Amino acid sequence: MKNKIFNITICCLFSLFLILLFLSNIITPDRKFSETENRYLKQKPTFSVKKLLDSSFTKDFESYIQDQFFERDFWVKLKTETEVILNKHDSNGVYIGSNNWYFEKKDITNSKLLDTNISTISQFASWAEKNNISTTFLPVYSTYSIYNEYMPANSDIFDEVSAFNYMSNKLDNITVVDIYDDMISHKNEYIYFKTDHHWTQLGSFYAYHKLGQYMNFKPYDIKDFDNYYISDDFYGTLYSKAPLWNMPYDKIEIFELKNSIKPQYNVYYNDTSTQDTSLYKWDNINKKDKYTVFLGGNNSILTIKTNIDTDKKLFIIKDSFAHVLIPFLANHYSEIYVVDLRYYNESVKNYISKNGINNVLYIYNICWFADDKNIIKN
Amino acid sequence: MVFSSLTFLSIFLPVTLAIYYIVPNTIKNLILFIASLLFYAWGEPVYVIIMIFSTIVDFIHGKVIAYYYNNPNKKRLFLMSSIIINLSLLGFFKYSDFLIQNINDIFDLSIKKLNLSLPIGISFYTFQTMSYTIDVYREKCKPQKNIINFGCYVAMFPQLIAGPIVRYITIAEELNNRKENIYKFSEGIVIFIKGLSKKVLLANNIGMLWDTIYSKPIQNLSTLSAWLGIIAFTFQIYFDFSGYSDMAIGLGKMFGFDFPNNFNFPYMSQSVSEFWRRWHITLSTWFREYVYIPLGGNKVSKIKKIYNILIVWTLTGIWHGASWNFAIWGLYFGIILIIEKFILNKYLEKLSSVIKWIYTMLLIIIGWVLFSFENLNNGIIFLGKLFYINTVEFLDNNSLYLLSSYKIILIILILSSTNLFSNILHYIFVKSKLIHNIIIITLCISALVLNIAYIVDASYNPFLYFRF
Repeated sequence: MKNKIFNITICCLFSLFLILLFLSNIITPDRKFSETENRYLKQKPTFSVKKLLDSSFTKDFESYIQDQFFERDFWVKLKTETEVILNKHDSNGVYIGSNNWYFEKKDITNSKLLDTNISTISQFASWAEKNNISTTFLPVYSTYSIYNEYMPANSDIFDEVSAFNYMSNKLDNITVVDIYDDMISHKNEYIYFKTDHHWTQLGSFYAYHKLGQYMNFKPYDIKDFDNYYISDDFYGTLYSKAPLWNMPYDKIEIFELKNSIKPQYNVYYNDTSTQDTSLYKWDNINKKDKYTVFLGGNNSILTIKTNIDTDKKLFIIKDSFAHVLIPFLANHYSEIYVVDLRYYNESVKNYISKNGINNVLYIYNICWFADDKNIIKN
Repeated sequence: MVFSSLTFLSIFLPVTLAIYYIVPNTIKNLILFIASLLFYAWGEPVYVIIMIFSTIVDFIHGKVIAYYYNNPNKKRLFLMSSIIINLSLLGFFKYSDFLIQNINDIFDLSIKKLNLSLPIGISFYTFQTMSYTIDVYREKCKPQKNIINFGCYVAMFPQLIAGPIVRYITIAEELNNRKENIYKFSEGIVIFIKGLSKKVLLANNIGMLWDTIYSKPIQNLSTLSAWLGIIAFTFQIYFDFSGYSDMAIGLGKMFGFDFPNNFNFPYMSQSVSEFWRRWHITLSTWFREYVYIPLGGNKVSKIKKIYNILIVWTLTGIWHGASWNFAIWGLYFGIILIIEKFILNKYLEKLSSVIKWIYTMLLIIIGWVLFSFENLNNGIIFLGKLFYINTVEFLDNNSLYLLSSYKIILIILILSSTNLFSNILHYIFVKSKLIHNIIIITLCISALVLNIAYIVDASYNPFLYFRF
């Protein structure tokens, strides 16, 4: 038995490893929610003979051990870092681009959905036209369409520019607003987040300006706003999926009309039955997902009433990209209704008719629109 | 339970090892047996009964066959009984739906399938218990007197789920009388870590590439995509399976057992015959000992030999899965082996190593196409893609992207498939034992840390050979 010291060392190290692993299960307390992953973590499953026999107990137990493993965030970071070293261009559904850019790797699961959604909106617009309601559609580009040069080469990602042309050709009773040139001309400004899949409020500002031309309102100039950073340590959704050490933070910039011209707002959140006089959920800046400062994240429906002297009312059907844009629009309508079809199951047409709304705006990210299963609920 | 899971590594293994080494020698086998039953029941709470049944049945058969040592007819009777019971179990759970499907197809019926789920490891443990009764019959070993010891052999968790297929005679002595020591334990640790890394860091990783390509509609695949895909599968199945075998062997050593090696750098082979001496060695050994030799082995006429080889290889294929593509895969290799044995070998000898290697790898990769496509139609279309038949593009964006993303991983895989690293380590060992030891310790620690990282973030941790 030569090499005795080596053998003893290996045995001791491995035993230490096993002991540490075992103790780590006991010592660290169970967490209920992971801010980093934005999901609830599995809790200790209850035992029953029935669950044992149908294998659900063992599966739940294994998930529980997996989810509650100590320093989970550290391990995920280590793995992502290793993948970057191995020159893999994507990890966990996120492209890791150059210059610290992350891009969402969205797989279009059903290529027919784009046509389905186009026809749903088309039908809606026909109905709207008959009822003297104007319909506008603002497709929002994803980060990769504007910052393509930082994407890994040859990625087979969904071509949003072609999709936009395809959509605007097929939709003829609805105004489709193209903000591509606006985004490109301002791309040297901070218009998209690097660690989150959304655009920034500054980015949506330029869309807001373009919308004014089509929706009959005069947009305010940038000098009419107070703008300031309310956070300089924001890590967004994409970072959460593929965290890396030494990744620079994003900052969150907020725009508010100067007090001398700012109207009064009353925001009513249906889901929580709460009201607010501000367009922003300031408390959410302390949460992990700081983007929820904008309209409090996902709501089935919320209503914004202002004291602006106009009879213009707006109904917005949207995904989360609208959240940064809506605070700008709120300055031009007496009432704005904001609906997210993922959570809203009532009839949109009935609601619009009942409340005498005369303008409808669809705001969707192009990639998400091409894969959205909820629009057809409209 | 899977070795590459946190439940196994952080709970089952530490607790089992601790209890095993605390208890006195006399009940070590009992502890191992109970732990193995718990391990198996964890994944198969109901079917654990079948494994216990198989254990009891063959334990009794072993004793009875030995009892009738001078009564050839009775001896034979009980041997047949054991084989029939084991094959019936295997046949019923694994092949009944396959049989029903074929009957439906041939006679145009619609008999309802049983839709039984396959008890994990049944292909392995039935083969192991049969090796016992057959070797007792052949008087190669004495029957095991202690049912706990025998149960320990059958259920032993290291090799129960995915091999190696350990013949009873291999560990009969160690079962009754073994001495664990630091040397064997540390050897086991290093082999275990090597196997874990192969599975988690290599196989799971490259498996994602295969999965990406396999999930695309087959008509749209470019030639480069098809090649990337099948090369990914070629690596995945090797590192997955050999990784699991290594873990089994490593764990066996930790408990004082020496299991036989199951893989010997198969992708370095220079002929298909050589490949099958390096791939899943315990399976080929089993089929040779218990099917080929009883059929006559090398002592029969050329025609009969060819016939026997074809039978054995078709059976080998079918063992891998209850589907015709597996039978064809087995037969495919049977035919190549016959051609090599009787015709090609003398020509192959004269060729350079590189050409022999290319010839071998090409045939193996084509084999994997047959293996991985249950739908033979798709398999053939895929084969066409490899050779730019009926293919729209040779390259496309997607395949270039994947190649770029995986190029470093692929290089690591290619090097790891050869004995380059083990040769380097051996060279270092000869020059300086100390440096060698430091390197091994560093590698082990880094590997463990990385493995935990990948296991914790596992969105993808399949195990290919679980269909057995």
